[in-house]
Amino acid sequence: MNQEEKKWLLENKYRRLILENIGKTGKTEKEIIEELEIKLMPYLSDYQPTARIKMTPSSLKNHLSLLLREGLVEKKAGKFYQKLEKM
Amino acid sequence: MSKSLLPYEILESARLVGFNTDTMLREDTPKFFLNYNRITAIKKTEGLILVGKETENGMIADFIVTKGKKIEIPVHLCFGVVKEKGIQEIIPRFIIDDGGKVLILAHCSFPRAKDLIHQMEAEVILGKDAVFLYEERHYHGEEGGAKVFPRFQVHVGKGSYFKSVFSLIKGKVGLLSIDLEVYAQSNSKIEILSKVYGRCKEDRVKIKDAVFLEGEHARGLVKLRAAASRGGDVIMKGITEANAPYASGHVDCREIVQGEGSTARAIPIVRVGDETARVTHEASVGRVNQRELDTLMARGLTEEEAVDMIVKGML
Amino acid sequence: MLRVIDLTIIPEGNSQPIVDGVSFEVRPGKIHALMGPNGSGKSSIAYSIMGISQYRPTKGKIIFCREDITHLNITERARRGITLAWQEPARFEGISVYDYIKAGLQGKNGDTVKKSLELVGLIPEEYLNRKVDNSLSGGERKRIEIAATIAMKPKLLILDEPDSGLDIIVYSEFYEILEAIRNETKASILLITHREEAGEIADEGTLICQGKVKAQGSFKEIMEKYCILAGRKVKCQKVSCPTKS
Repeated sequence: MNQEEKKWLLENKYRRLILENIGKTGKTEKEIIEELEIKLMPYLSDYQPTARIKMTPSSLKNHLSLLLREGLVEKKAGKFYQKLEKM
Repeated sequence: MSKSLLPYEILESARLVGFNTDTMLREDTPKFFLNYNRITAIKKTEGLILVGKETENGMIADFIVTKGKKIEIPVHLCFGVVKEKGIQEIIPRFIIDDGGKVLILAHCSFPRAKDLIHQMEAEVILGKDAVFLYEERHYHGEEGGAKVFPRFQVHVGKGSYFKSVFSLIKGKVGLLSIDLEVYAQSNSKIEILSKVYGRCKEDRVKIKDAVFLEGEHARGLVKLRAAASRGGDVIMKGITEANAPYASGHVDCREIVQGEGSTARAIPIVRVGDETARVTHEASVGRVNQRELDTLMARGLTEEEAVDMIVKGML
Repeated sequence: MLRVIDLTIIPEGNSQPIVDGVSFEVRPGKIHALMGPNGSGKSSIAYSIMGISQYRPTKGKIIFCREDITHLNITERARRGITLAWQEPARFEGISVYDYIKAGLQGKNGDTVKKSLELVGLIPEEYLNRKVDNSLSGGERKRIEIAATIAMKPKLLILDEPDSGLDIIVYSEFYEILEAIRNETKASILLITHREEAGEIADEGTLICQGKVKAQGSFKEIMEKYCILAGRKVKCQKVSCPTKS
């Protein structure tokens, strides 16, 4: 599958975040879940929001499965690594 | 509160699109008004934080509902420009903290736009069990010279409800390109409705509404409604992607085309990445349904009146 | 009120007529049943009378109140007092019941909307703000459709199988509604139906089979002919008809 056909994979921000997170060093699923968190801090206000969003394990599993299949990620010894391929 | 908070044309356009300007201007109504790059009104209420900073071409702002607070009165936003030419850039952040609730009514008005660019880069987060209802009504004047680019990225926490309604159905459009992305967590509910009427050959509308269902039992509905007449062009892309167990979604595009040179394209995209998820879609593009037309004409309406009634109902 | 003379319809792309030399008359203030089995051409005749373009007559004339309306369009016919309630009413996104019914009033009093809903057995306050879409049941949409036609105070009301899809328990109520409509509006009614129970209400009728007239006259005369055609050994009564034995 060529680059053009894979562009849709990166339409989803969660998949982009996963790829950024695992990078070249590699991470387990558990590590990815723990580290990936979405929060939004105010630009100007001092208010500290408690709102935090974490990826669910089932959703992560599905994303990794897709990224593996499409060759953007590889798995070695239980860790996931980003495959070096420019999109 | 003084009517000089907003120029006359912007208030008139707010009335035209159905907002109650008396309510908007009332002293106790929570509000945030921006006239090009001047913040002309900020009115907070308990649980609602509104902070803005003027920039050369617009502003940066925070709209925050604090934890557990339910704002019962609608909050009015207004971002307008009465100049004919120029650029307005708005960078807002909407934070609806855990358990918060708010309805925001936003009016974006460019009544004299001849060569005017409006860009908005908005980020939104809803915590757990929060409710954010957002309705944005636009008016771009009668010259067709506005170029409007709203971009939203929305993250919706567990058990939360996000509903967004965008409408641009009065006046000309000019160029409109909307890009909305929503990420929905477990047991959350998303509803997106976009309604646009491209009335002339200067009107070019491009809408991309994407819902990513990332949590179990998350639900999403993307509804796109458009009419293109007298040479207008509308393209609507509605994406729903389900990546979690029992997530469900639906994309519903309906576009009506009238008059020579008018074009409409609907691109519903549905993707499923979990064996228990389900997403459906429906799309209808083209002339008004003949049966609907015949029914109204059998009541004594002319074809033009019947089309008008059907398009108004749809939008 | 209405005279259909030698009506023949050959739709585009067809070589055979779907309606072939049909003539009948609907007298003022009467209910005329157009009867026949499914596919006999009854609805096609109704649509042609209403002026629906796909059912334009290939031959023949339609005379309404002594005016030849054969070449008038739907709107022109509607404004002369003809209207049609569809067998399967269309759904209209975003249009309220009130606006849908009011659309046909053409300047008449808005109170007519409520009255027409009452005539079809619906409580106005419960329906005026609802949308004419899938949120209404099939029976509700049918009633609203009929209400919309009544509100126009037409001279000729064409009802295309208004009783189709109704439960048997609702029939008697339906025919009561029809009687109330006739009394209230004084309109002539052309009732398209394949149900024998229509005899309860029709003054006279025309039996259509394979696009042609097979019988005309009183309802009893029609039913006798209908049963013969259907191969029934026992002649039909007005209320019920035994099945073929």
